[in-house]
Amino acid sequence: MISGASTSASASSGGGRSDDHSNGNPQAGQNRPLPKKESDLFKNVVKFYESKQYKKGLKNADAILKRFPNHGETLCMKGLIVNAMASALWGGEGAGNGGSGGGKEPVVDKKKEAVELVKRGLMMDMRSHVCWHVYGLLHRSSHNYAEAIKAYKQALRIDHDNLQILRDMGLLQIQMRDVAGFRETRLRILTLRPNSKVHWLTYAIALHIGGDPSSAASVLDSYMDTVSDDNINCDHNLNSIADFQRIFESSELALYKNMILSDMTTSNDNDKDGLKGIEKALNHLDAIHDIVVDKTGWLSARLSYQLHLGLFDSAEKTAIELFRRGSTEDHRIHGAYMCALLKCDGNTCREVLERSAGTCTLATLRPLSDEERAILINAYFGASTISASTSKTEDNEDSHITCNNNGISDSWGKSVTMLGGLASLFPMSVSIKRIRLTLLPPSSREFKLAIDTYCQQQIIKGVPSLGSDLSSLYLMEIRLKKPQCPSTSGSNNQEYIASEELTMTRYAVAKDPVDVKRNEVYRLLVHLVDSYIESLSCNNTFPDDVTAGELPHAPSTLLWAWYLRASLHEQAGEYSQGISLINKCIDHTPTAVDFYELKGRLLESGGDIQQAADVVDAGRDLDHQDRYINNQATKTLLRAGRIEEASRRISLFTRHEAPVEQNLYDMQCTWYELELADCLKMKGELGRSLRKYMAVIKHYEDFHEDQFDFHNYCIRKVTLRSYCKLLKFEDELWGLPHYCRAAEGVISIHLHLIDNISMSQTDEELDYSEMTPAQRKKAKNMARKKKNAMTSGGGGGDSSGGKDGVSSKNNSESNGNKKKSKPHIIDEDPEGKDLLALDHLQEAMKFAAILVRHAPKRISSWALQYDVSIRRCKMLLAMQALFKMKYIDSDDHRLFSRIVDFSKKMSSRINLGHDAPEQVISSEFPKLVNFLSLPDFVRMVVDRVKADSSSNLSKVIAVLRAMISTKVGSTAEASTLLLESQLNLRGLTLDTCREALALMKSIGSDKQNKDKMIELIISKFPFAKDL
Amino acid sequence: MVNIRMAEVKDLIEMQQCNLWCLPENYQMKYYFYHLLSWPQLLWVAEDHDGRIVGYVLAKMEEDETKPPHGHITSLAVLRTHRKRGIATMLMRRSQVEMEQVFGAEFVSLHVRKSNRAAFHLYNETLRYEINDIERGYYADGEDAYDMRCTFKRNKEVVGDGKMDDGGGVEEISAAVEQISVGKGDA
Repeated sequence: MISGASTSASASSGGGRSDDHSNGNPQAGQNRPLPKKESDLFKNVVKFYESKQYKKGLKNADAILKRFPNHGETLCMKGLIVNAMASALWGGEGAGNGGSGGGKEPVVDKKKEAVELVKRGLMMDMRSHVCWHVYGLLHRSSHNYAEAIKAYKQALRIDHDNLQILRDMGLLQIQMRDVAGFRETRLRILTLRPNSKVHWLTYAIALHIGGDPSSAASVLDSYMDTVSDDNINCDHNLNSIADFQRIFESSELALYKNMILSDMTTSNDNDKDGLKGIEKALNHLDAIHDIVVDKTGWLSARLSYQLHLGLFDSAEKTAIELFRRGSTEDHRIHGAYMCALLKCDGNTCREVLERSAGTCTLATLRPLSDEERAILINAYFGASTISASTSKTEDNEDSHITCNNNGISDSWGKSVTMLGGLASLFPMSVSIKRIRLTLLPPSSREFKLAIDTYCQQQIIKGVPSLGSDLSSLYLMEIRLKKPQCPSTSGSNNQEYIASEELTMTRYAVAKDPVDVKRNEVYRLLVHLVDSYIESLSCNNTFPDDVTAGELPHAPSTLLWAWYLRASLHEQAGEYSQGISLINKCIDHTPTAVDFYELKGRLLESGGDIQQAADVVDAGRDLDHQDRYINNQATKTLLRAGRIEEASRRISLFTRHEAPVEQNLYDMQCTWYELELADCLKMKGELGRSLRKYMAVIKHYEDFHEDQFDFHNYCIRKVTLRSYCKLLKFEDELWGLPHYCRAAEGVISIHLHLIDNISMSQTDEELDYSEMTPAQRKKAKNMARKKKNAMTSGGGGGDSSGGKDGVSSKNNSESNGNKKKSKPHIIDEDPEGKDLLALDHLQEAMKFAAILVRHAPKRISSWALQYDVSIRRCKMLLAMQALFKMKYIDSDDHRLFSRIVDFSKKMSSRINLGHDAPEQVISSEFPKLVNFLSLPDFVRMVVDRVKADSSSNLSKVIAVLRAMISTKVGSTAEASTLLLESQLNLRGLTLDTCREALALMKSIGSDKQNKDKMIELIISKFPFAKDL
Repeated sequence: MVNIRMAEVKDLIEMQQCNLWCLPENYQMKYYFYHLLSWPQLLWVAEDHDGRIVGYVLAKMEEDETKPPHGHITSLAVLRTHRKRGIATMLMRRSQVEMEQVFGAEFVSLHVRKSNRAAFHLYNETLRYEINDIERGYYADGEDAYDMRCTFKRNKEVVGDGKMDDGGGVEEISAAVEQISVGKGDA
């Protein structure tokens, strides 16, 4: 930050000012240009400021002020220097966690002094662009970007063409995403200095992100025209780093241009004209072929374009080229390859290219027809496997695969893969072998053979993640809404809709034990692994041993077969059985860490978190070098509420010169802070919990601030494609899962405090009485500062790590991990009392607004928005949230209970006025309850739940609660419904079961029923205690 | 089964968490940004079937003008649960291909703890790295590091013949290999 500030001051003050003075420009120094001596002194001030020789700078400034105490520019420069000194004292920027710390006081005072100096200077010389520029820099240094931009604009009004101020302003505009302003500023810069590459590129970027790719492309073309060809020749006799850097830059620029061309499509990509951009981009790829060194990027772009344009044969070839280059383990390319083979429609191709995650390919995205399977199998494994797969399936005569060579398109013969298919071209690829399991129908004999072979190999190797790997094969068909347009579809949207045209069949992976146990592949696996165990226990061989030799296997083979079976039990929620197997493993080999981890998980899921923590911790004790198991122990201990122990564990891997918490904060150890916050919340230590959630929020603010230095850096490095993705990523930062979790935690605590007012009021004031005078002073100072910070508009906080990183090559190496030489922060408010003293509704509102804006696809965002709105008596907003929830998942229990809540609140309101909102509500709300009265609506849902034998337990609870409260049904009916489910319900956790039990108690179920319920719970969660 | 692909900006947060789960040498987010925005082709991730990141390699080009262009592995990690699947090898090989092809690297270097036999085995046996030097007290806790190097065969025409492997099969990597701890110590 400071270094940036210094360069900026250099051009404006250095260039601008010296000219001004020598010309006697009246604008410099309010009609009073400084005499020669002072003028030179002033130049020194600027020079010393830039070289960070602040003391000397200060001395020179004071020398001027001695004769001209009201010289505005000098006052401003002095202020800037004082500010820089204060920042340096405070280690660059504050380290937000403590939010305060040793030596803070003088810093605060100095900063204040700086502001006063600059303001006074500005008052003395309002017509000096230098003063305004400095004023802007001061705002910028306190991250007050909007104000800084205003100041820069004032400066520019006086000095239109000041390049440095323009640059500084552009930087802030892009940081603030004032894209239109940025574009304007960069155009002015380019007009002023058209000979600089950087200015051309930046202006092109400005146009591109401003949504005008075609102008961006023309700007790049104009630039390229000015560059002589020999600069971009790909010469093969190169040695120096500079040569390679130059080649890399040309390559990146060419690919960026290509990306812009393809972006010219997105506006209306369904009609043919819309694809012109893609067509252009594809041709452009050919033109830049010799310039591009990033062949992976080049080929990936080509593959995507070819698919979009339906050029399937070429796409096939491109995919194979990518495989040749080493991308055989990239499933997105497999997905694309399959789309090309099957000539899929545009939407499917897009789905595969843009939305698939992990190891999803076309084969796991949607069901394949027999013919499609045959084509894919042929392409992957060659003609030989085809005949094999025509054989009939064991169990089901009807479902045999009908494929013969006639059914396969002629283009196949021409294909690159030839006889043995991909598998023979890439014999080392793990993924290609594994993909076979997704191509064969699970009921076929081939599938059984294939999965048998796969399991045996992995068990012999002892792969601990085998169970999890196999679980991705538990596919089940669901109906999804078709995406109306690519941007609005929610991929997780599981709403069932009757109309056939609006929906499509997709695969989802079965995860809930209810679904897992029903899954064909799961059942097959259970059968298979049971037979392994039997056979291995008897004679150390597999039943159909694929490992050629008749030799007996090592004892570890049986061990890993047990382990796999235990994993399968875990997936089905069979915790006792899982435990007895994993105990066998541990008895056999008490030193294998993995066994303890699984046992811990089984105990945790089965209801005994305390023992789980002990077991994982015992595993940790077996390998003190392994941070993974250490973290796992920490996490489980936290879930068991054992904070002290957890902290001792994790501190074994943190650095020791700072307190553990500070160290973890500095390293942005989000997972730990979230777990700790959850744990503290559970324990009712809301202040401390809030602090940890807020620490995570702060990390994300820092991540956002981190982009600042890259605005210039990426242009210089010409990594423009990545830069565009950075901008997009930063814009979506507040919708990322960890941020959402933290924000939800914050909101839930504040809501809790609103509903339980007494809790928060007790600690409103810090207890100063038990402090030493020094501590007291510090604390009061802090409180004052915090208050100021809050009134000055939230967010703002200071950010860490803003130093060099990208500006100098050698420093950047150490930037990430080197601790800055700043004093250690003393946490002034570990109890989070300041946070508890905030306006709860205001805070909850603030974060709910962020969530609905940035994470609108999360149903929980809208649920919390509802909770906040209803407490603010904003009925219309609350209802809107309900509709949003309904759009995401109309079946969700959180929606149902809120609809009921809303309906009750509506009917109990007295002022059913005639104002517009009320009218909207009364006309729209009936849609949420199927145009029924509340009791009828509840009755309808109750009946629906009754009919569905494996509904979701949370839903059942919500429904029963509503049934009782609306007097639609009796306690007896509710109890019966719960008991008759046998708890064979989805979403079963010990916590939801406890909730169900609590519900029974609260509605007065008789003892007999409650006992039955407890029995049921124990049958599901055998290790549960204190029910 | 895992998915091996080039990292994108949106992966960096999960990569950082993965690093915090596996290794004692940790970095602030900005350092990940810096890598990706300087050498986007050198960062690779391994995704589990559900898209969770279970391994990564963070690499860079050294900018020392006195030496021929060469890369450096800053950090490599694979979650303990995902060992024995050759993930580290696949990640390293992919990054190395790009290092050579995109940036003209002649060799790649890395540091490894002297005591980390498993990692040493991976680098030395599977990936053919040689010890170039020993750096005394390289790591924050005072442990020495091997400075290891792997020189690329100058073979510009053929990138790969489809078989990424020149030694044992990708899946043959021995059991404990991936308990890796590389990367710049917090010196």
